[in-house]
Amino acid sequence: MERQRDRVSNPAPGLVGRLIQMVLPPASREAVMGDLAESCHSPGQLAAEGLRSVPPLVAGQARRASRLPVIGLQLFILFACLGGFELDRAGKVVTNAACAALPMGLAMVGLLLRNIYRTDDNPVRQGFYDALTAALCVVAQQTVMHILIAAGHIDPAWALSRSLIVLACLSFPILWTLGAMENPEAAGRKPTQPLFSDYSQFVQRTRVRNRAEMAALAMIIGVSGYFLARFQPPVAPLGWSFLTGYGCILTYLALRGAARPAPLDADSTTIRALYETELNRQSRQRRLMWWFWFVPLFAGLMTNLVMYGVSKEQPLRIVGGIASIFLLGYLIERLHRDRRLAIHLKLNNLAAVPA
Amino acid sequence: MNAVANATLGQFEQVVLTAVLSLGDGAYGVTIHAKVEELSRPRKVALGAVYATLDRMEDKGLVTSWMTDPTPERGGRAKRCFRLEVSGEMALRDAATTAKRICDAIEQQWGVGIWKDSAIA
Repeated sequence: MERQRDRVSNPAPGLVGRLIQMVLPPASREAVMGDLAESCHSPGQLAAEGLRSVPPLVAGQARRASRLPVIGLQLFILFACLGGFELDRAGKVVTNAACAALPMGLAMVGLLLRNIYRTDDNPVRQGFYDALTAALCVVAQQTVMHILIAAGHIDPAWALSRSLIVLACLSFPILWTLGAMENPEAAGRKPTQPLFSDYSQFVQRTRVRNRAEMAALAMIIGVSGYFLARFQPPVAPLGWSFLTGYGCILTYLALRGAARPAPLDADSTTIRALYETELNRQSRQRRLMWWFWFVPLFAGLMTNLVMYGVSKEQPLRIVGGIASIFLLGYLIERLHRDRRLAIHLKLNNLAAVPA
Repeated sequence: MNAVANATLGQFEQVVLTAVLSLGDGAYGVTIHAKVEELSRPRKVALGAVYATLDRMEDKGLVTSWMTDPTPERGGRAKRCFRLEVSGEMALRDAATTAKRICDAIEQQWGVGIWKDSAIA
């Protein structure tokens, strides 16, 4: 009883409480702050117990909030766009893989922290901030590198070349669309409102998502076009053919990408049938798009690792290339599997929706 | 579901599940933490470690949680209460059966008096 009185007479102190609250992951903030307020008797104890609680909570939330295929693909794209798979020039003291691994590692930390501390439910906005986080991490890492180079501590080869910086800009739209992938749990959730309203929201979400994907594609076409025209790499003809493909996809998305709205006088049976058709169509569309997004990367891995390894008789490069191709394919398929499961769940849940 | 029920529990998970079981309706962060420290004596346990384990076990379907209304003694914050699920009970039962067999085997070798000298006594 005395302990209970003691607790009540020692509420959570302002500044310490706010600081601890800030570093706690939002998902567990409410319960943990309440527990700390209830069990701690002084600001010092609250600070000590709170700080001791942060690492396991952050680690647990990182595991809970991070989706392996999304993080894996984000890092793959970043590493590729930072030139990690590029062939090393003779005489270069630092390998391209090492140059790309450092900013990629920093971006991975940034993306994990964003997953832990994110509070926004809007997938498109989430994707944008994911891409922005990764970009800021790369910029910060490169700034530090340039400072160290200027001070003469490291070799200038550690900085990314101008052509790689342009190439790195390509990762931004892909990271955006990857981060904008709707959480499978949210996508498969049982509708809590009448069918017509739920379908209208679905149409609205696909419309926003479709616009974001079109914007991302337009950015890719613009940046890639500039890169191919300005730097004229040896694979330029292949690059232009990919850009033509992206242009076709952009046209398709503009014409048929979004889900069709339901007629105002449609009955529940018609809306349910339309909902099922559109869910399946959107899923097929995403599946096709995701493979196409990564076709240039598959081609790059094939030429720069596997084929180059064969021509130079480097078994390690060949094995690395094949492993990377399989890993990339596995991550894309995992993403599709998650979406398929969510759609399956959603279709089952649709039967229980009131008309 | 069977896969979850047959999942082997780590030692700390066993302790946390036991705490949730013994606290019944009053199982939330503070009480679970206190019970876990009591069961893990003399080891000190961070509140965050208890929460991380509870989150992991919730993902495995061993426990479920829900938020209560805010209370003044908690600075106007809600409690997150926990309850054991059927699969959690089964997993704990399996773990307890194994622990009992270990205790029996030790007693056979060192006699029942072994517990008097240990920290458990």
